[in-house]
Amino acid sequence: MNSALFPGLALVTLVLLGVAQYFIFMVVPNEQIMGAVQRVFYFHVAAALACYGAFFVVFVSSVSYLTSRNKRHDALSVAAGEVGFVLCTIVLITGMIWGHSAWNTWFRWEEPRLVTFLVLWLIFLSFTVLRNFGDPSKTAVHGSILGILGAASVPLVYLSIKLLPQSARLHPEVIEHGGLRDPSYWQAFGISVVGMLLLCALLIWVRYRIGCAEDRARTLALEDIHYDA
Amino acid sequence: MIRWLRTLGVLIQKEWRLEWRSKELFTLLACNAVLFSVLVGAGVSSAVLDVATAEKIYPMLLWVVFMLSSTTSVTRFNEQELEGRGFEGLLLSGVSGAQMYLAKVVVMTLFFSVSFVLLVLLLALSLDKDVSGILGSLCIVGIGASSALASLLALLAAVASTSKLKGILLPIISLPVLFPVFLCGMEMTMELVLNGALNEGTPWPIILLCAETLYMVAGINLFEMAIKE
Repeated sequence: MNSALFPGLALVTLVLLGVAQYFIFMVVPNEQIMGAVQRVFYFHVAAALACYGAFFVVFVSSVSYLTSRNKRHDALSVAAGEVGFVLCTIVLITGMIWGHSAWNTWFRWEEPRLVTFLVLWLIFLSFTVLRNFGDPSKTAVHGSILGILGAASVPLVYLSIKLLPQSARLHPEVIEHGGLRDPSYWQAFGISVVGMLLLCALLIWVRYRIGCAEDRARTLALEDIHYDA
Repeated sequence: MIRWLRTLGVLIQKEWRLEWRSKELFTLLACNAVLFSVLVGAGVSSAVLDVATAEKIYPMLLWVVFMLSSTTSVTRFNEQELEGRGFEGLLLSGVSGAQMYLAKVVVMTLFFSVSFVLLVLLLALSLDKDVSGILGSLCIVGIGASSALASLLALLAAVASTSKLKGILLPIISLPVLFPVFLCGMEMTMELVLNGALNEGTPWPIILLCAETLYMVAGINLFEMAIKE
């Protein structure tokens, strides 16, 4: 991607996130039942959508690395994995803050979306651990294998938790049930989702460029060793 | 096709003989099964649980112990081939990665199934639970889950065996992906313990089959990449 675009994208992201904060804290009225805590929804859902996006990037870049062996695809997979892990952590933390107010408990094991995100977080964690502690000469292939396996098993994890007999379906389905009736809710929601997706893309881009630079440095160091020898 | 199957048979024999010579996998599985059962029995006894509660937690304890003992025991499964560069020799002789992978899955399934039966009996003994009426059905569930477990662990053991963390890495990278198998096994065992048979129209065997198919497809296609680099 053209690096000249970077400052522009960073500026747009910053402005959008700033506008989103303004809407969330200054424009959107307090929700009738949940009150001010409902504002966590805008961070929670936006981070969840960005997290799914990051996981999709991990899957696609892992498949393309294994077929093409292009190191840039591996760098993209690493970047998306790390950013996805951070976003998944944000989803879990904001979800717990909301859950503590709504259900008077930090976590509900009966709730499919919560447990799916917890498992997703564990998959991201294991992906990051493997990337950091794996055999350096094989990390790219092994990480890609785990990336594919992890991404492919997420729908199955969600389905299996949803089928648990005691499933209580406590998670609010705001959009499915025609929530967000005030126009300002939709505006805040839309801006925060676009802002978070752009932030996710920006962070992946930065990490990807670092990964490419690290790879170049390693290649140069190896060339130096060969030259000296 | 016959030649392909014959090669597979020879590879299964090789896996069996390697294990017969070292006895590492079975020793680790049996020791872990005994150790975890004793710990669980002591823990439950100190919690002074009534018979009904102990019966309810039996499926959960069985599957937690089974998953932990299996994932911590198979890390040495590829060691001899890695140390003796056996994989390279096999690949040079024209054996495909899929055949090597399937041979490992068959042998691992056998050992996991034996370890599962051992665990069922040991935990029943620790928790003073009579499982004689459902032992046959439990064994079938155990063989199904063992096969799914082996399909994933045969692939991920190859990924973990070259890392710096070795034995510790495998449970970290495999347990999140194995979540559907854990839930399926636990729910089916719960149905057997409570009703003496699986409920009519229970979705868990199908989910287990889906998980196994997913791991198997991934393993057949990716195992060679995991060992080749």
